[in-house]
Amino acid sequence: MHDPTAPPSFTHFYLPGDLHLALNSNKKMKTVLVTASFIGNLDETVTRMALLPVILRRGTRTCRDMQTISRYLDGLYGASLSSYVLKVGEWHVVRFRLEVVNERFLPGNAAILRPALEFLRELVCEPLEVDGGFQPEYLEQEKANLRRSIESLVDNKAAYAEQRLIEEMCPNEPYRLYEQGRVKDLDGIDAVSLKRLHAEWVRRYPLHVYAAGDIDIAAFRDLLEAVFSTAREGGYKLSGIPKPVPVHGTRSVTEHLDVNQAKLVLGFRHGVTYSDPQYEALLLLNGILGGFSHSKLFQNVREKESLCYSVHSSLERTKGFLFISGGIAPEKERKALEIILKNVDALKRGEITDQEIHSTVLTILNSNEMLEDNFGALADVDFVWSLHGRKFDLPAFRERLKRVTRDEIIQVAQKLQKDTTYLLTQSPTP
Amino acid sequence: MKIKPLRNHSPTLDEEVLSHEFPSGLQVFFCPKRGFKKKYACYSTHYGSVDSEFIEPTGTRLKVPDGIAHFLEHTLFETEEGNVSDLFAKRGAYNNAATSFTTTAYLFASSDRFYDNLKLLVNFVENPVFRPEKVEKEKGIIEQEIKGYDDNPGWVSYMGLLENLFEKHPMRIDIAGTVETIRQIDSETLHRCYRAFYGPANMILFVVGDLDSTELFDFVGRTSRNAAAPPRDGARRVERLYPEEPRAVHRQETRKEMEVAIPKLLLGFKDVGTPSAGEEFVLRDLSSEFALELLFGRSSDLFRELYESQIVLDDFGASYGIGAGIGYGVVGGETPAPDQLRDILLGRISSLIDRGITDEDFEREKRKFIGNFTRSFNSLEYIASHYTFFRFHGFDLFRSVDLLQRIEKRHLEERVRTLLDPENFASYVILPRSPAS
Repeated sequence: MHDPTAPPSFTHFYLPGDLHLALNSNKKMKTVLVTASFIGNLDETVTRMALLPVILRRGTRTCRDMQTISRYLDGLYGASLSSYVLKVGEWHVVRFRLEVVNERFLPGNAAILRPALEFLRELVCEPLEVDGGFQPEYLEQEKANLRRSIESLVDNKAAYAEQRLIEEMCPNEPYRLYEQGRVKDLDGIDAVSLKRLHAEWVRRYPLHVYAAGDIDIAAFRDLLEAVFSTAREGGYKLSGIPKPVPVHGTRSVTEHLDVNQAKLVLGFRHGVTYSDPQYEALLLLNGILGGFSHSKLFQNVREKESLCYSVHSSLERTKGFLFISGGIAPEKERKALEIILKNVDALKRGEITDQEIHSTVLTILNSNEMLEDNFGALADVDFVWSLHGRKFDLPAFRERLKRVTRDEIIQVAQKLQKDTTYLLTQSPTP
Repeated sequence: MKIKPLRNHSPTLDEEVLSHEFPSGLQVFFCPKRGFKKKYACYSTHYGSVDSEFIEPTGTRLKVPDGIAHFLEHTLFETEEGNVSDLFAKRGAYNNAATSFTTTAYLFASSDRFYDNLKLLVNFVENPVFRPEKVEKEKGIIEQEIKGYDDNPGWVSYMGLLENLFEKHPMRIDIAGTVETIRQIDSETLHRCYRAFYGPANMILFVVGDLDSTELFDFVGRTSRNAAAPPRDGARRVERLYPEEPRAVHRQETRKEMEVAIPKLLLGFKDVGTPSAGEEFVLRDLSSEFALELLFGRSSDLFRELYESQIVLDDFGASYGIGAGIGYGVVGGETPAPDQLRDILLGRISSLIDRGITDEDFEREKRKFIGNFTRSFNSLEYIASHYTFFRFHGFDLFRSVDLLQRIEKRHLEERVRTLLDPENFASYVILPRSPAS
């Protein structure tokens, strides 16, 4: 008997051709959400892969331009269809996200789900083709747009500073690559060769389809199989989880732009990943240091010293990195860096109160439980964990989290090796 | 006393909201969400950055420094037992607060110990501490927050556009104020603003989650000082003073250089004398959004033309804002050619007006609005914030679908004609810093 209070989970189907379906049926959602994620290696194809989700949105076999696509989706009661790339460690994911209102909430229970899914397949698999390639004008436009999008990363100072830190920290690791690609690759991309890559990608790259909503799992599985399994071959060689790279001496990089607020980002290596036995201790370490507003950094850098508006730490859990980022008054940069490092050292020395551990465990447990209402986020956790060979078992995760000891947190803290410090600040006044 | 809440049910959305108004005027709403782990509470006051001049219940007229509503939000976080975020964290809850033009909201979300957290929320909002030394320290933090916004081209252009559109109305003022204005804020003025706007009759508590309604209303009745306060009958309420805003835009254009890679254009149009509450208010809001989306949204001919000629990028769009007696439409986004884009948009408006709206476009767009509205109800935060916002404006969120169904083409055509006046617009342009400077 299914326990209605048990945490939600996904029913998995592994079909031929590297097609993985994961389905959840629930009564909470007003919509049906479907994501289709193609996964490949983060490598020289980075820019071409970043073009795929945008060029595919420009036209399909039957809807030959964006306006026709947009109008078709509007007619399906505003079905939302987006596509984008993301980076999971040194993997590059191209994702399509479709969300439609559950038919039972629509006037006359309008049948929109199947047409929406079929359209998703058409958009992914059957782009508008001209002479064996993508429509050349569309491609040139999207190349120009991608160029702008890469160049305009600087408009978001915090994101820019973090990407610059990663480039400085990982000069010889694929992880340095920005998920939107490189401007220098754009000129060499033409409509025919990109279409060839698309044909291979759509057949061979591992495809993970997640679906959630008030659905019948068996029927929906058949529907997804009918829609997605055509022309799947599989066989793409996906790289494994990257081996940890040691720190080669710490570096400091400062760059100048005309900003009102300086951005300081620090990169540390710890090598702990999703599937590591120390994973839960790492989450606690990050929470105690800078994951929340009760964390050491927020309390000591912002609240006690008024040195900044924002300061927090975050984790990369495939490569095993910890980042600390802050928005700081330019004249206070030295002081802020000093206090941030003091807080990291305090953790390594074991200066952690029971209260800090207790609050952090509670906060993580709470947000983990609330995840049960958010099926897009749940699907993301299942997706990433499964890529790391970790079973999606929320109760087991919660038990492990509650049992982490202070010593285990200190052990992870001692793994933190400072790598690179990046500062984006005002030009020195002449 | 056993509370018998009123029930508001939407069969279309399969949602219900229970409510009770205490004799003090405090309104409490509860949206049951069976099976949900998240419990969410939001305590809001109908008070925002535009309420910068008012007559206190004592009869004194007061003009306060810009940014004070937002400053007050920060101040309430400091209690005798320490910072509220720490206290929520000790209970494992997530908490936050936000100040907009017309509301200030304090919220938390948690999966357990809900009533502990609710008690904390209600207590800190109802029992402020105004210590001069804390107020001084907070200035450093808010100064950094403001400077962070100053580097954000999206924020700078949006607030800058409103400053250009409006000459007198406080909608032109940045919600956080400026470094100069927040320096003038002191604990005495904060306290006076609190007394004026944080009274029970000006506040709404909204709770969503899998809870027992009897227990909830009973708990609020026992815990909230605002709920237990004496009836408001006859008591003077604060009177908000908004200056008369002229029809003409204040300043036609600003050009600003920033550290950006791509220029940005926002074009703004002005509505004055807008309805301030009720069905008229919501109808104005919805039909304006609807009309702007038809003209400038992703399905429009104009978007297609501009995107395909690479004058606009993916972020191009339009939106409408309304509150405190005025409204504004904003169109624009990143563009390599801001001047050309402005000229095209202005040049097209009259032909768009003349051409009218086709039945096909109208029906398709309506479907999209209905779908998007239904989808929003996946979010507990959306339900709480929008139900509250509409309540403050004397309207029931559940009735929005009916209102949407009742919108006619003529409403949209009227909106297009009145709002989009090509003779009365303002623009804000952000340009990449020239190498010389």
